[in-house]
Amino acid sequence: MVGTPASDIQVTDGSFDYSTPEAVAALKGVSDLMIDVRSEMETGALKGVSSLILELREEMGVAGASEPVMRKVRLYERTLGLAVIPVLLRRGLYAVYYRVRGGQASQL
Amino acid sequence: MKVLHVNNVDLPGRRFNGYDLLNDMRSRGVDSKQAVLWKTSQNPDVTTLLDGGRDDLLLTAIRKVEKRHGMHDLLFPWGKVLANTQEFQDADVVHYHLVHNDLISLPDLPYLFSLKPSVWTLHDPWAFTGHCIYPLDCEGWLDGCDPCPYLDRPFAMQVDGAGRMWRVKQQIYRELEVDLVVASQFMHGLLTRSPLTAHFEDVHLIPFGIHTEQFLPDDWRSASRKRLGIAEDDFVLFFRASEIEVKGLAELVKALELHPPTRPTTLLTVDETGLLTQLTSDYTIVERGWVEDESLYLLYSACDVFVMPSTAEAFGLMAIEAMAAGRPVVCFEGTSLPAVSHAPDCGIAVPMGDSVALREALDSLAESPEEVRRRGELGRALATKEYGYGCYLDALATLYRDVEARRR
Repeated sequence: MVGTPASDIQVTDGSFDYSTPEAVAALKGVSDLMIDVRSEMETGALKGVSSLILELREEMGVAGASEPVMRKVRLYERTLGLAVIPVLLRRGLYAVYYRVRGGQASQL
Repeated sequence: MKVLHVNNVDLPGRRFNGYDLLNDMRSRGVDSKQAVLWKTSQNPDVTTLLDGGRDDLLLTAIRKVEKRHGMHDLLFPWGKVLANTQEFQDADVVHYHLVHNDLISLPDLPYLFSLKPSVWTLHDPWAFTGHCIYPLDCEGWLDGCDPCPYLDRPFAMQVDGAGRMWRVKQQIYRELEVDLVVASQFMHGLLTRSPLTAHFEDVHLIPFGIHTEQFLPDDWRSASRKRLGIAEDDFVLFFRASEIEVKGLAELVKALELHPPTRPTTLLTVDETGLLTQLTSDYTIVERGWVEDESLYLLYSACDVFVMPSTAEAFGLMAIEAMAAGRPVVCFEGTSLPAVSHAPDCGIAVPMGDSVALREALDSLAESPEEVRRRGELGRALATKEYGYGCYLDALATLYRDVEARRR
């Protein structure tokens, strides 16, 4: 699964101060987290969620699906990707937030 | 020695971003490569950090999240990706250029700079500000950018995180071990005034170089005008027509509208077209659109005066080119241009945004061909002396060897 649905995350813009020394120290780990997100996009969440579509696409390709149908499949894949990534990114942001605040990362 | 240049893109801005140095630094014994986000050339010495559509999506998403949360350059992972490339690991020195275009997260800079001897060219004042590229008349960058009155300036923020970004930069810069390069006295002045960067000791003023010998001599003027369809006896003002606010076209148009010219005048432009329609009754307009270097030489040759009314400029390459072509430069005070063009002796600088003063300067030159010639000849001599491409390459090669020896 891809984690907490975006609608369940309470985002308050600018609600935490990322400029404190503790936050700046935590931010040094964010790019590693993003590398993990990137990796997850490749091997985990996106692939897992869309495996059925990939199979469907393969079957359709073998069966010689028409171009309009393939366009819909590609559009759906893209839409799925766009839906997944912000969720992963918000998880990243909240991981930093809770790391700075301390002790609540399990709530992610 | 091996140098890796890091920038967001390769071909656009190639004269500034290290791309042209890939070939040109070989003559100084420097083997150069470039790492970019977006590769637009076929050059095998350029490598891209993005891995297809997946990374495009990730980058777009991070950009949106940062904008929404009032952040800038805190979440991008490409710095760590860069560190894992073979080109980075092989390099003796890494030269960073425009790191702020979604390229490297600020918190990754101390890590990257600790891995390799590093040089960072500050191409604009972004490094001193909470979010904007050019602070213009705002002086918030001197004491924290909090609150920011200009959130819509690039790089725009949806919520005011400028003060927080300023403090983040302040903490991160304290840890940096890097040699900084600026191209103008103007940028050097900003750097030493900024509370964020005043503590840096290894700061080098290295103006960008140009091939001064490639500009056409004065006796080509008639041929150049004929080729462009410009009347031989017209007074010709050359400038960049751009809707980018800081390029100052609005101020120049206002000056040209003040009254009809005292002698037949042609306005010769590059870049955007159709922006001078209100001037067609009093002036002949010759718009050339976006042109490559070779055509630019022709345009400089055909003009009498180059006008650069930028309200913000960290260097001003076109001013140097105009000087190399033997043409006087007219500009506003408060940017890099007065110092770069050696105003008032060579260039002419008028108070920022003062269209009346700008028009008086242009009228004065229109009525005095001898003054135009004198300033032009002085400009050509200064450009050859101070902005020659060979000097530029020598200065960089010396810096790279010094940095490698000092920081290895």
